Amino acid sequence: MSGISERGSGGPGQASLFGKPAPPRPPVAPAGAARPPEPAPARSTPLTVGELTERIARQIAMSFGYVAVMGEVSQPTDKKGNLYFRLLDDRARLDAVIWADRRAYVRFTPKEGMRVVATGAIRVWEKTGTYSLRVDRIEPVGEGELQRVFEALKSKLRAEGLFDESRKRPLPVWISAIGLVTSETGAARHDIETTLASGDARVRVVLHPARVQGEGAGAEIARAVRVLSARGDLDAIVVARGGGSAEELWAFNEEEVARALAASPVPTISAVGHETDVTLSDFVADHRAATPTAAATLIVSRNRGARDRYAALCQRLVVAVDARRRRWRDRVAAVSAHRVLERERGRIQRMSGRLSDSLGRAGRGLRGLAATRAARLRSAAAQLEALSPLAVLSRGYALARDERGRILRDVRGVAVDDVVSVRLGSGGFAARVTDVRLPADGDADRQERSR
Amino acid sequence: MTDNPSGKPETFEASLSRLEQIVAQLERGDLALEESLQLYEEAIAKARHCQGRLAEAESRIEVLTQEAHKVIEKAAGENGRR
Repeated sequence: MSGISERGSGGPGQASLFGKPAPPRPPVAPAGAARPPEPAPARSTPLTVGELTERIARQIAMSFGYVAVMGEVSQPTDKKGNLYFRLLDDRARLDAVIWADRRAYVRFTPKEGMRVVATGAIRVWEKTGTYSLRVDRIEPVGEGELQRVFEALKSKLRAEGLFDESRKRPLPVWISAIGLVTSETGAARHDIETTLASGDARVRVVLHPARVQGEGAGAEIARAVRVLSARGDLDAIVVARGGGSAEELWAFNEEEVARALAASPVPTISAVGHETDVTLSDFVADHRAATPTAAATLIVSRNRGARDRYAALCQRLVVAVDARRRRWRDRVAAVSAHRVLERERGRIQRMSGRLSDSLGRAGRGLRGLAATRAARLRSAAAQLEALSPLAVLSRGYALARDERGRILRDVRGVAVDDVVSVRLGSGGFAARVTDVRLPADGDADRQERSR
Repeated sequence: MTDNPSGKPETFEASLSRLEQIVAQLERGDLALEESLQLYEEAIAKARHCQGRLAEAESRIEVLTQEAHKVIEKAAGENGRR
């Protein structure tokens, strides 16, 4: 830009705008004498930035003292009551602001993506070398502009698959802790807490307060969702707000909120407004509750279902234990009737009685499921163990097996020098057969053969 | 038996499903003694785990004021940079 130099007021820019600075002219009149006289070389002193900016500001003020501009609203942000936003079209961007003292008169609040006509004055900010529109009046371009923006964003998110049924995750069977995003003082919080308490849902609620309406509410809600979903100790996240006008519920239509919900690793529940209100949060969240109260009811019934299922299972377990207990008791009785065990009958029956008792106690005890019940069942197991063949061995009997592990019941199954394994009540050993003693009959020929 | 391979405590849901499986197996009643005893013990453990989760659950509210403040500050900071 070194080519720009002072050329006096108003003359159309000359070649120097795009080329080198015009060389000083000779005092002789130039050929193009019809043109206005060239400024004196002394006048080509560069402008200071301040001077230039001041001229631009003056020029703009003269040309655009008051102007109506049509554009699409982008990034509306509330800062100390002043509403900053941008107006965009496909070619350019214009910064705009509605000062706090004007906002009382501007009833309409522009939302992201809306097409509006903003009327006001252009002001140049000399310090930053920028200009912006100070808005005095703002109107939507047409009727239903809010609806149009809603539909546009809805189509976009739907096209990305954010509403797909396949993305929806079920709530956990048992919800022990939820994250709640809503206003700390709002009706939604009250409704949810009251419903959870009255339904005895036993849910820990981690409330992340967020403004649920006004500029910047969407960003706060989205951030709260992100904070809560990163915690890792929650079973679900609920975003909630009581009823309100479409504009008051608008924060739940903002893209940032939709994306935060979609990104949550924890299942989400949207509970915004009344039954008839529909927001984009409702489409993106894994579950939609018609109202905050309905969200709490959903959680209550979920937990009630889990508790019922658990109780029913314990009941079935008790019945199953009882049935098994009876069967074993019968089998033990049958075994104890066996001739071989006749001598032990009394002892086995005592054990059987004890087994039956302890299993019975374990079965009944399951209803309460305290720690001692499990211990009792374990002691029942120990009693059963006492009835196993190993218990017989512990009384001094031994069990011998051949090399293939078959139990030896008949001496004809072994020969001298065979290795047999002998199991005792406690441990065992391997033994080599040194002598085979046949039963009285057929003793001799057996011995012959083995030699 | 309250840990799953990832090291996190087993969920209520997982314990409950396992308990359901075990009860169904026991109800079929065609198990060896040893096997059913093992299952009982496991069933008791699962049931206690579920019971524990149900018992430890209590209604209470935590309000994340600190985090909220951080959020507001950060948001203000971002606006300031615009």
